[in-house]
Amino acid sequence: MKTKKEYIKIVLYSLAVLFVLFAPFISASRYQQHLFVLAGIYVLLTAGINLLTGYVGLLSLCHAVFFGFGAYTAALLDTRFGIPFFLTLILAGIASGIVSYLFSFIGLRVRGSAFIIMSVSFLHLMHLLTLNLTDITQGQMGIGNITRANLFGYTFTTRASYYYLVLVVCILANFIIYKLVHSRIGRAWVTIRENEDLAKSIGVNVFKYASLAFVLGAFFAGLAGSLYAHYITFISPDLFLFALNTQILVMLIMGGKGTILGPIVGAVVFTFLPEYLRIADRWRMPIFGAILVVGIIFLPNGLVKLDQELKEWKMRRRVRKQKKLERTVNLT
Amino acid sequence: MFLQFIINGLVVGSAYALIAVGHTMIFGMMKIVNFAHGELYMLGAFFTFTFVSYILQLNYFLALAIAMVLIILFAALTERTMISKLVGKDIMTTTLITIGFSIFLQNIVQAVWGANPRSLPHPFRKEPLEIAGIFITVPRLLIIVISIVVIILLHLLIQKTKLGKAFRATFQNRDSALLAGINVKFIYTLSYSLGSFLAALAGGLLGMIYIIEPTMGALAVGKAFTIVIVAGKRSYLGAIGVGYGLGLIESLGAGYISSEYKDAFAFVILIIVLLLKPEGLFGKLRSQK
Repeated sequence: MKTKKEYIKIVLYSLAVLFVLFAPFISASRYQQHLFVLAGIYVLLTAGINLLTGYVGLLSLCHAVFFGFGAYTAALLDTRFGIPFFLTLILAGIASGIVSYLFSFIGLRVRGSAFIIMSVSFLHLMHLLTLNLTDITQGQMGIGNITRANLFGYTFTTRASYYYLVLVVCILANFIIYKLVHSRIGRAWVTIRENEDLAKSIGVNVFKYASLAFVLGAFFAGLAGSLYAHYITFISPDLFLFALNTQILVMLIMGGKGTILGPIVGAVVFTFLPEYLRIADRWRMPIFGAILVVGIIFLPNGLVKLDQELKEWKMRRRVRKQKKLERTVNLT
Repeated sequence: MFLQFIINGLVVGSAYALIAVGHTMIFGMMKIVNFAHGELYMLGAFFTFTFVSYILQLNYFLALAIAMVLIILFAALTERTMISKLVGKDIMTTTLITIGFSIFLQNIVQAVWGANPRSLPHPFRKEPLEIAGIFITVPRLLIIVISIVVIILLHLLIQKTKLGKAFRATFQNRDSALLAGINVKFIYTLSYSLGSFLAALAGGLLGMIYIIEPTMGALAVGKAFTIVIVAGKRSYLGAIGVGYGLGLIESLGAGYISSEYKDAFAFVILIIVLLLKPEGLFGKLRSQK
């Protein structure tokens, strides 16, 4: 026997799956299709940062570094050496993974606020390097003329075809994340988040598991970077900006950190929302900031936990009413 | 040249010290990682700029004073309505909310004043003074002198007055301060306003020699944060010392090593200190919070 609520859930999920599968056909507008591709890239980034920030519980402000590093790796391999797309994709992911692994030796020695400032500084440093190592990165000019993605002789020239490419990578990445989270490794991550001392005492190698989450997140960010570079065909040091990292974090927190579905929901909603705020013109970004503040205060667990949050609100209201009633009864 | 670099370092270091002391005040007192702190630095510059160039076209010092009063009121208001609600929340929540607040402020300023960089007009002579063979312009001299005076006044306020005693008590242990009858809420509002004022003052002063733009707060808060961690989170004197030290290192480093990587020195120092002494140069080892 299934309840009404479960049926609604099934219908909603199947609608969502249909929507994801046929998204490029819903709207013929090139701009809308562009947003669908971007949403896919953001899903990869947000799902990646979720491993360290959502499951291990360390707020990372340097995720944009791995996106940018992946994009630059792919762009350089492509424009200088003409390496085919499927290799640049994998190599970009591996390169970002290696960078994050090296950084984790320094970064993961500290926790809390010290880790946050470490990661911000790392972001600023990499931005400076990208700007100033002009021999390699061409500085502010950026790298252009990156070839479009090409697999088995098929070139992804239309936005709709690229959407499906990104979608496949997203599904694979989320499948891997799902498998890991529901394994020994995922349980170790959550134990570290909830109580690091306890995790240590039961024999969890904190550095090993935390760096695994970090490196895997960076690997996905590297893939996203490569996908982005071959899609836009032009990249600049702006990829290393703090603002991009904030955007990824907003997607994660507003979607729901520490869940599989949260980053996906958050990435999609917050790719489209700022675009619809464009009608507010120059007040767009202030409104975005305000939404972030209010959103975190009222929805600390994200959109995927909206129904629970509503239930709690109702409960609290009922309790308050009850108390008020009791007070009046006592008075009389 | 060496002395010239030292002077430059002192100018930048003064600003770093002011911002970092403000940051320590908020961080040490309320345990809030305040990413909006850099925006107060930016607002200080823009408020002063507005009173000098648009509204009233006041004398620089009067404009600075009015701007600072407005900043203190603004800070007190935000503390009462928002920041005070964050006390005791986990670090991820507070960090993200203050990041959201900083996006909000930065873009409000961008929407109102526009994104193009400006400079703050000041009434002083362009030609540098010569003191014992060192050339220094009046604004630079003023920045150093005013910063030192403000830091000394702050020290007196904290060490010699009754209010300062309440301040220190709350800083050390919130609960016992509450038991002793100290109005902790008021102390929080005061420390947030005072901390914001210090950052804004740095902005209003440095605006005379550097370009002001809505995005200037991002780097400032990064530096302030680095200084606070390197100094040891809860140490005022440490923040002042490391603030001046960083200013000098950046200035000398830019002069003798590389000016492109000026902003990277702070990161390198941060790594070295955290590797050798994770509690910071002047911090005492306690459980990491």
